[in-house]
Amino acid sequence: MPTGSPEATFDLTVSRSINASPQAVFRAWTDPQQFRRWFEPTQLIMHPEKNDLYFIEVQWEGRSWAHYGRYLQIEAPRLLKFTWMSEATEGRDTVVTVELSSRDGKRTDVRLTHVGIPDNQLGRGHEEGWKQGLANLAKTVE
Amino acid sequence: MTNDSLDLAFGALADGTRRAIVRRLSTGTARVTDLAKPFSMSFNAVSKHVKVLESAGLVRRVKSGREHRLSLNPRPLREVNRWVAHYQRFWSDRLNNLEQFLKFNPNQEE
Repeated sequence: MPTGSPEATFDLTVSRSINASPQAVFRAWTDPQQFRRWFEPTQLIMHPEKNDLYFIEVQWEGRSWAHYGRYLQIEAPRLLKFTWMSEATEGRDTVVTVELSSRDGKRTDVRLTHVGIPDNQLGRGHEEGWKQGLANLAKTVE
Repeated sequence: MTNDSLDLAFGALADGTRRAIVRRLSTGTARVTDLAKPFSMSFNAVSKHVKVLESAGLVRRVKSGREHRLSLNPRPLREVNRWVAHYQRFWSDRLNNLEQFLKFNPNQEE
């Protein structure tokens, strides 16, 4: 079944500044017991080792989402990188990178980058179709 | 691509004249002078609007001989993508949870 062009992907970045040491933040991400408490998965199997796997199921916006992935890089306490695949990535391996930085060891900047989110039905299509879509959008906001 | 470009794009579209320019360009390229005509606006006034659209990446200049023609570039708005919006909300929500968790569980030493 043809899907959108594989080259058409999107990235996003979400950041937070958290009042905790990078070690504490890193532990929250990589210790399954802690991870459970804030990520709130309905199911979790987690092996946080390089090239090892995880399965995370979450309830989000009215339904269940299963995610599978592999840890690509685990460098305490500054970097965690893993693949991330679900229905919402249309079965493609996207990559999530969590970077932690801190100037004083007490407050940590968390920067989460999610790359490779594939084009979806909305974005799928050709240049001309998009031009029309844009014109329609412009019309709608009048 | 980040949400900044999306903000820029929507900001650029938050103006009636610029939306009309976008609609005109969706039917084909045009010179700035061609755009000025329907609005009985000065060339300078239209130029200003075009510059805003260019900064937002919605309009590109294409050189055609000695002419500059303006062309619509819908790419910035392709970010209005269902899964990007989904994950934007999702990750934002999880990081809020993380913040709360660490706030109420500050001593994570084992």
